[in-house]
Amino acid sequence: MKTHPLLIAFAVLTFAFLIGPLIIIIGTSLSNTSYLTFPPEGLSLKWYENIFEISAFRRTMVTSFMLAVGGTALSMLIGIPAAYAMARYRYELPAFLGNIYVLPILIPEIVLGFSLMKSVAVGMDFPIMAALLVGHALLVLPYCVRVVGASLNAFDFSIEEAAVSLGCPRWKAFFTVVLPNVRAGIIAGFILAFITSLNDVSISIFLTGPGVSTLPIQLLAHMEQFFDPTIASVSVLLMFVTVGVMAIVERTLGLTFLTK
Amino acid sequence: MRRLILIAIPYLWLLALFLIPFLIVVKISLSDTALARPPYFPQLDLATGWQGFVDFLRELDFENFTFLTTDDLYWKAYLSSLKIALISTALTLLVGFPIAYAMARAPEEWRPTLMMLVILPFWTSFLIRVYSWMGILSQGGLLNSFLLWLGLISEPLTILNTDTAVYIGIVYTYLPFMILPVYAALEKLDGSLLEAAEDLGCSRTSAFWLITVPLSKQGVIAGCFLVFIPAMGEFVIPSLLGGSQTLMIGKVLYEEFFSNRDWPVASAVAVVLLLILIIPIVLFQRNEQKQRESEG
Repeated sequence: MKTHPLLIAFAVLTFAFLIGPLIIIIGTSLSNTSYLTFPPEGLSLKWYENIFEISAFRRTMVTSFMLAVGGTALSMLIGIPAAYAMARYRYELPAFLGNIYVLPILIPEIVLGFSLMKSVAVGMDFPIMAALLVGHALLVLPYCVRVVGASLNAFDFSIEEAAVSLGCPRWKAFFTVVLPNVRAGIIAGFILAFITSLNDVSISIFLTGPGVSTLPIQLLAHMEQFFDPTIASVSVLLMFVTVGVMAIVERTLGLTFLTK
Repeated sequence: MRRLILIAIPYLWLLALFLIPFLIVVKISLSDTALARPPYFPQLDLATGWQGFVDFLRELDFENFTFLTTDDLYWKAYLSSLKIALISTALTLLVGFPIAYAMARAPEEWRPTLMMLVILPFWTSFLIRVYSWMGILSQGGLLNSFLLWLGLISEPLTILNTDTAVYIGIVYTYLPFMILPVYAALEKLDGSLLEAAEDLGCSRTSAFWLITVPLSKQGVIAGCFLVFIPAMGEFVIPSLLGGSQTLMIGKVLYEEFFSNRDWPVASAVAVVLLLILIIPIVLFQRNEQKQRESEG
């Protein structure tokens, strides 16, 4: 069956709508004027140099990366056993147990951030970094559980049983038989979670405090004061990190797992 | 036993970081504003024992919720968020469905690239995309320069800081959330069903409405909820793209908290927002469950 030319035209326009703003950001980051213009009048890399001159960007970039790695790792530590239990005993457990994990995605982030700040930051007097870590781990938990769960559901648990009946201890069977088989799901979940955490605004804005900030919050603060292309160059830098990571994923796993 | 422990750990985590914080918010929403640190009253002091707890309970009341109904700023903000979220969801579906359809019909070898294009903005910081729209929609921005150059308008349009900009921002931000589930549903659609319908004399248009639409229903429903629910609580988009007259409840909550430092009222706003969203969240979960069951 042929696709209608109008549909193709519409699809092209929509893809332009989706990608256009990203191209404009790249163009802006290379401009040599101090205000946002497109097309840029002349090319320069000075806004990229500026990123490294503003110490707040350098500092928050480190914080954000540490937070994304730490939060995701913490979340995986909790999410993998949960996903394992739910896949392993999926016929015995009520289905709603699995649904509860999606709640952090569904509940508006502003409510989540707001209540976390009340309890973790104010109520329990957590240091800011710890509060952020806990908040981000909660934020990314759905990605960890769902993506790892999807590959565990496809895993044949009789292989694990075979290992156990041949005398392998259960914990060893988990690490040497189950985990290597769902490696792809774990990597995919880790990457999705990492990027979500790296870009989060709503939760961090409530949990950051004096002295500790994340890159998106710093960007927001910078945006309110200056309107120069430094923001664009930071954005492009982040975009390249993401695209690089995605290219690796595409090479190793393919992207189809995202629709599953 | 082992199974219980495995399942219990993550649930305890969710309980500790999800339910308890929310209960604390509910508690604060029932308290009174005070000029103290933290700025509300009463404080629960466990050292005072049972009597202290009873006294504490007595101090709580629904005053802040009554306040929400008396000041029309709040219900106007809820209604306006509802309206903005509903219209944006409809717009996102109008744009997203044809794209998902075109993607599902595209040659197999193009699909990963098309998918990458859809996900790319979704994986770039949301803040950065909103920032880009600020540059596009402003008075001297790209869109206005382009329209002026074409001669379609004689003076720049005001788009930034209006509701129109908010709609553009929400549709842009949440479009991938609509495209992906709809695409997933359409891709699974068995093409031979459509051929059979045509062989039996069904026109292409009616085959679309009788076969394609019903079979992609669950994907469409999932997509709509994935756009509607977060759009309802959105606060960054209305703050950056909207004007001072753009009312959204997320923005009100944010201002109540950071500018007015009225924690009890901000908590009440959050509790009501979550109550409104419980229905769509439950419906979404049901839809997901049905989908999983139908896949067996």
